[in-house]
Amino acid sequence: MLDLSKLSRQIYNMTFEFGQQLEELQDKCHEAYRLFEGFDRDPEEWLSKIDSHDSHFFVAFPEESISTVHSLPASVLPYSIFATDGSQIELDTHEVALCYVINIGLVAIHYDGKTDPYLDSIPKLFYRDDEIYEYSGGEKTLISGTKLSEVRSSMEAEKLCKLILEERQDGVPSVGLVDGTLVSWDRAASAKKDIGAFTAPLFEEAFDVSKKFRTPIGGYISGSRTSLVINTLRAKLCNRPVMDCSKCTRDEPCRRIEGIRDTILFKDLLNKGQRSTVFYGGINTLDREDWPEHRIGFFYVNTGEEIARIEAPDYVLENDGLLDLLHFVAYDQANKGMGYPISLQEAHHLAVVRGPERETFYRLVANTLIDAGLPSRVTNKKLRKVTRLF
Amino acid sequence: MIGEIIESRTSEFIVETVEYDFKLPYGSFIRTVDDNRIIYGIVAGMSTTSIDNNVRAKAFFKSLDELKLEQPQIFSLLRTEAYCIVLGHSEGGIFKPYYPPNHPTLHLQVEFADDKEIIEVTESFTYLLKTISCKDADGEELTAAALRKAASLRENRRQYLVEAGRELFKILDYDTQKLKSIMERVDVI
Repeated sequence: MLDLSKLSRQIYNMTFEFGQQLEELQDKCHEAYRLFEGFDRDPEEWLSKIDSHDSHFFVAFPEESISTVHSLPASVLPYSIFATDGSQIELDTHEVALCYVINIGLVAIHYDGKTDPYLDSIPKLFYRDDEIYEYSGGEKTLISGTKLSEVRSSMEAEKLCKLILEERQDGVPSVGLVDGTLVSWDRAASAKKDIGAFTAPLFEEAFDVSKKFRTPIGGYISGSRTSLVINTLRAKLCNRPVMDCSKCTRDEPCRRIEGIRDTILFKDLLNKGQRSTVFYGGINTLDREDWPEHRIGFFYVNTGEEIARIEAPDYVLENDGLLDLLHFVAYDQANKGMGYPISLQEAHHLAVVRGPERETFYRLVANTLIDAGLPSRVTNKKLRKVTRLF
Repeated sequence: MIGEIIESRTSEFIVETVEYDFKLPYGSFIRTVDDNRIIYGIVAGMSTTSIDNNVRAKAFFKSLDELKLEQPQIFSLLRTEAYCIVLGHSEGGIFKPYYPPNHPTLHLQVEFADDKEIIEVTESFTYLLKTISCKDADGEELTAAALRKAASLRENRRQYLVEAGRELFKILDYDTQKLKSIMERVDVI
């Protein structure tokens, strides 16, 4: 049991410190805006600094001037929206069987006033050795959370592909949305060398289908915490001859604006419905022909409730028609959902596995094992957690 | 098929209708075929709720047409249920005005009873005891609805209602006020 009376003092202290941080944040924001204006006047100073060394933090480069604002495109209604979201019953070593379930919620909504929406969820059970173990350096370990997220993302991509193929209507504009980032981020990767960190290998097949049918796919990130644009601006504050962040200490001048999120920067810049210019993370000096296939970029959009980050592959971001379609639909979906895309909300509700459902799942597994004459026993720890001794 | 049984007890069962906007008229007679037995019931209440029992539908303050255009998915998240009272069952073509030995099987399909069946079910007045004493609905209202339907199928409606009224008077323990209150709602003559 949680003794809240013992926590209340700690909560009070936390709140006090948050209040102090808020004041510091204001100062940081002023500094960021100053840099922001400077970048637009002469970005060369920033770019050459960033290019001076390989080991710097992740940055993102704008396709136009950094303060460019694009208005909400004209309505494309009626359109169709396809969305998927995943959830899981995690692997539990104390349960009757070593397995996990990934449940994908599928949503297709057509705003034509006549076609019924398609709402479904598709669960998949994973139990084979190669599904629940990872092998690295000869070591066999249980699947990690990161790997599990990858499996879930690839299922989301696969089902999104299915929705585009089966639910798309000829002549009706359509968009595919997933919850969260498209890229498989590798924080340890070098921002300059590993351009692969800014691609979405799990979505390759979905991108092919999306390109063929002109249905842009986007990752909708609510409450984005990334600071890629802020990081770019920080380069100006670097007082070293080359920007090698691996050698820096905590007191470097560029830390003055550390901790601000990109969304704070764009909150003042973007009015409701407007989007920022397109940004690409990683190397800015790469020629277009040297780009990896389906490089992922992003833009920020003011939905009226928040600044959302929308990630999309290059073929969408470089095509005005597809970009406008994604911009409008992302905004319209967030409005229909009163702050967050309605299609992703429904996909989430279809995917989510509630506590009682998890219990029922394990009861079903146990009963099936017993029926087959196989051992079915939870660990002593699990047993004692659910049946307390009095 | 108009619905499917999703909850079943000896004296009552719940039917989910085929579409969220398919409403069974209050007091309508329904039937379900359970193996070699036909079980008859009467709709004692209807409700439309969200499919997620924990969450209530949200008000959008827009017209239904606007909602169908702007939020078409919400209509897939609603369901309509009918609360039904068991009136009796029929075996080998003979109606028995008492509960079947087994309560209806779950997931059975439900249909409206046809006029001939309703006449058979309401031939004896035992059903009035079931409707008046149902526990989770308004017994007087349900009895009036059942009488309206039963009488409307008779050639001599007045005669049927007079006889039903006599029987009801006894069931109500000679409470004239209650009888009057019910019969005032039977406006089919």
